[in-house]
Amino acid sequence: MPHTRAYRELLEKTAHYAKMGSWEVDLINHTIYWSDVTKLIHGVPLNFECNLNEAINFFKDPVSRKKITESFENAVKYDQEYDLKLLLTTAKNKEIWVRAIGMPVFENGTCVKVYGLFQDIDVEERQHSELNKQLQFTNNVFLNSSIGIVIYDKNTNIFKVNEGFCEMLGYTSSEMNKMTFRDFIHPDDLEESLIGLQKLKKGKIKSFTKEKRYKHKNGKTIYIHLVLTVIRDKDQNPIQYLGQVIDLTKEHESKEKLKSYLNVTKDQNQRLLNFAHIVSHNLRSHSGNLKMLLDLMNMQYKDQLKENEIMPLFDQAIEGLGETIQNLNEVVLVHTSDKKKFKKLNLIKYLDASLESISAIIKDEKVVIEKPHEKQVDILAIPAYLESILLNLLTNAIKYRSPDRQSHIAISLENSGRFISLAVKDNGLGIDLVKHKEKLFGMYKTFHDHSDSRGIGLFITKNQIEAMGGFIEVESEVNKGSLFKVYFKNGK
Amino acid sequence: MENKINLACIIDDDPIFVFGTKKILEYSGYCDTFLVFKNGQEAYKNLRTLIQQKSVLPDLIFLDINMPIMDGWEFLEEIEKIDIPKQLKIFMVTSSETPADREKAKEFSVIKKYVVKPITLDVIKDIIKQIE
Repeated sequence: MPHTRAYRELLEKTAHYAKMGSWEVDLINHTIYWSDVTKLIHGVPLNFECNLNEAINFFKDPVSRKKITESFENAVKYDQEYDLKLLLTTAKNKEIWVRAIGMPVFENGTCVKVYGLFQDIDVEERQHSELNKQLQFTNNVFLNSSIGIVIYDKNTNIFKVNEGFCEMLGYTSSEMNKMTFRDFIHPDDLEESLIGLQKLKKGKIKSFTKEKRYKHKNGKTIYIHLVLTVIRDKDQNPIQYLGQVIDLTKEHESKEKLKSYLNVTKDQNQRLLNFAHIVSHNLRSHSGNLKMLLDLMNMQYKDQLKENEIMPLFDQAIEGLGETIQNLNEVVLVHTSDKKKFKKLNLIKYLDASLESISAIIKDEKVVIEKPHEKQVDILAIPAYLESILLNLLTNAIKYRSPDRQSHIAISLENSGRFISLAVKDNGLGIDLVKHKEKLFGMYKTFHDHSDSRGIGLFITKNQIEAMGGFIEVESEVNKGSLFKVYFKNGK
Repeated sequence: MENKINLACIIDDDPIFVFGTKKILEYSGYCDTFLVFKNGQEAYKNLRTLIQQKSVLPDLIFLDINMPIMDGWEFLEEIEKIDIPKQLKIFMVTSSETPADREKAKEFSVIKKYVVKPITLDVIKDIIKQIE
């Protein structure tokens, strides 16, 4: 081999670009030789002279140190070559991966020197380990995901499935590897899937996303959400299909359950409407007829019936029947109200109108009314309900006044953001809330010996308020007065 | 009597209501001549003939909503299609207090008033006052 200058330069260049240096340990003279590149790798200046102990000290990582020490000893003792990947700490205190190759030379059964190569493989090694990490990550995702993952080959035969997919369908992965998607897809969903697959193949869609049905090994239908994408080679030919599948069976079941509850509710609502119809048409017309006939009798046989003791009772009974039906009708109407009739209403205007309509009683009974000072407060309400609620609260406050003092009613408003509350505070008889709180808003509950008590007003008021998305609160003390607070939805 | 109605028409399938209404009108002395129809269709056919023949028409009509064959609403739709003389005053008299029915009644200009049963002497007096 010609040891020309050009050849030597080539060798040096090769060593430089391969980041590969040479070294030699002379065991007879106890000297060490490092080539320039070797010194470069160790991070020492080119005039650096080192001994064997120092050389070992560059391996600070204990595993690497153990490996190199053992391998070097084995080389010297047993004539064993070594080729190791080690972590080296340079003079500049930087950890790098190196490849150390050592070859012993024996003369007359004794090792006289060991020489070898020293290569900086840090960049390659770190890239490799990064890639390894990536691969492991991907693999972990694939294996441990609760999402079913299936990879089909280009002919849509199953190539690989994960545990999640196997569990979903009840097959083992070796069973699955012999199947195609036709084996477990619900027959009614097959055609749609084939069309989707074609589109995906031709690149018309980027992914095929669909809710469909699969057949479990046990024959049961499962509901799934599929996202299918295509993996192409560099010439854009499909090589694999990647399917990600989420099991929606539980969600589907609860949706079905919800649907059935909804049907029950609808059914009950319908029955309530029928009931409302019977009350408002049939019952009412019968009681109306009775009332009319009675009036006629009273007109026609006025003189004969004057002394009859049964007729006034008959009158009362029919009056009572009519009123009960009227109440029943109101109650039923509250629950069959149409939500669309909500309107933005000025509460003040309605309050004024209600006070106006009972102005005669207010005047007769000398009631002092304290009105809110606001001019306009908008609420969301159903006009007929609002009128009924206001009238009910105001007449109650007057009806149950105390005979011992002048009746005083304070009306005030409060804005709490979502709600507008209207407080009606009187100084009347009051209600024993400890005794009656539970029954206060019940049907046919009266708390005063008052001929006019129907026991229906508060019940209807509460129902009407609740039908409009609000609520009612009460505070009361016997012989001090009551405070009713009604919360309406804010109209702002 | 000054307010006497010449002819009143009752369209209702309930014989008790018809009987009672007739009696109240008779006793009160407002009216003693009646046209009674059991449903909307019967009423429509007869009234149409009367209008076409320019015969004497009722001064007021009491119209029920719920009736077999043709109900009060259908009757109104049909009768509004023919050119009705202005004197035809229709009162919707029904047991229904449903807000929906009340609202619907407002859509027909021919309806003078929505009256909820029962009909009493006071109600009749109000009605008579209104058509004066």
